[in-house]
Amino acid sequence: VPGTLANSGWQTVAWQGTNLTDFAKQYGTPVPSRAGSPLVDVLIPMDPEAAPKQSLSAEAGFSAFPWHTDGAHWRIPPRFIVMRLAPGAATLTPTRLLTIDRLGLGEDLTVELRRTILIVSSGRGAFLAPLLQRRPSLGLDTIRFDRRVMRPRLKKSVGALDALEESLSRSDPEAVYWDPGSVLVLDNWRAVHMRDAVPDEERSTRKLERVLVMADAA
Amino acid sequence: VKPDLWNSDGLWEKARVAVVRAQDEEYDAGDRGLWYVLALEYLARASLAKVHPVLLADPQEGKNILYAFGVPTDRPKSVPAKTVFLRCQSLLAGFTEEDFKLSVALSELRNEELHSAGLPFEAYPLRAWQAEFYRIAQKLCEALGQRLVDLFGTDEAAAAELMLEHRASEVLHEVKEAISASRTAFMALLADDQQSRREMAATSRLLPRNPPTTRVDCPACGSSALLRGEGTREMAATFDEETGDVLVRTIAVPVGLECPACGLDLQGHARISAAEIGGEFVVQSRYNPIDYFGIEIDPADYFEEEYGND
Repeated sequence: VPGTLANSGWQTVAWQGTNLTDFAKQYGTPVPSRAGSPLVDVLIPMDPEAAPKQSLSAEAGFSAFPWHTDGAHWRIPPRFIVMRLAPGAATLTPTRLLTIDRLGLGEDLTVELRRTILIVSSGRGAFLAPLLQRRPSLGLDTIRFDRRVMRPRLKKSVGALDALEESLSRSDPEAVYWDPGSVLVLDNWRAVHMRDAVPDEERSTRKLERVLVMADAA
Repeated sequence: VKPDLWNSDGLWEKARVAVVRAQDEEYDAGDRGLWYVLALEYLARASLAKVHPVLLADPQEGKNILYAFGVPTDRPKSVPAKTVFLRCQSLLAGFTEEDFKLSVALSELRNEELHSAGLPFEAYPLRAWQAEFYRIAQKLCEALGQRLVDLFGTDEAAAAELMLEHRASEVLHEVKEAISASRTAFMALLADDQQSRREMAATSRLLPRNPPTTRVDCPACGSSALLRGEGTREMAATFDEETGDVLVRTIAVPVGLECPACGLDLQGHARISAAEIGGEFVVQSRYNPIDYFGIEIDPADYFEEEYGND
């Protein structure tokens, strides 16, 4: 993992190539977000009615997205998200990022969130997974977070989830504004992200490309 | 492709769910023991699955073996608990024959609980096997690359560590000698002297909290001895509707025994455990709810002008 990315959980890199997959490959193995989809997703703001049923747009539409990690419904979520402004597109609406280890959750809440066991269910078979996972090999905790596809296995975990939401809402996230010619690389195991509400005039101009990347085994 | 049903991570999370279920039970409820035995089996299965899922496959039918290698299989069958623990003994560092025997004995309690009208966890309650359970759980956590705190949470893990510091068997001989010496010395006293010491012991002060203390029969002379605890954790407060008090139950690991009558003095959980009184104990304290919750009541807050129908 390159230096800045390892330190802060994200970085922007100047790159102007044609196929974003070529750039993404240096971080691991690109994978499609849905079975049979192309490797490069094109993300455009969508009316809830028009969006695929199982999507964030179906719920949030043009409003602000909730904080989430991508692929939270996969047994192993993608390690990196590689995104850029699509050629010819324009937007002033930022994407916001929060690295979980910089959120200052405190020891008690961290312990609680490690013990917050989720039923992750996305229609393709449910499984159990923790919200925060201690990763001794990385020296930090990783997060799986998307309220739409997960619910706490135990009623008593609701408090810890609420405390996390509270902490997220009080936080001071990084804002990434989209310029042509630069690519965002986000450590999806360490950071949650969201998009602000999209104003009317940007509904047809905001267009992002995204590639999900699985980490190659060390 | 990994077999979802025999997935080590998923089995580990199930073990953690079972532990939380146990912790939610009343301290002395038999269900607490049942949940812990279920957790033990999930841990053992998770540990085997981590080595390879095929270790969970029932070898009687080939399709089960294939399932462990990702071949779609209708209702794959896994091996029973006894086989699971036997394989743990063969494959996991530190998992001894003694661990195997206790694990099998505990899973037999589970079977009796589920298959009969009997109450096996009344006859063989958690406190009788708690330290040994923690010992096996620790070994399985190690095999999984996890820690006791990940399984039990901060408070109970601290209590478990206290229990695991030394083994009762290591100090058994020393403790037997101490008990025997105290008993001999007590028996040598005149009957009147024995009686007055017993009375003195019975009226010696109990400190209910900090550190929590309870009374037990002295293993040497049978008088009322004081058992002191550490590694405490509080259970959720309950409300006594009859008296209006808040009841707080504190669980403690016994770490010291002193008998004011015969002078027996055992320190450290291993020694207490060797004297067969090593299970955790519960101390109950009563509080006035106003003190407990720090409620400040100003009567003026409750004053209302009289309604005059005007």
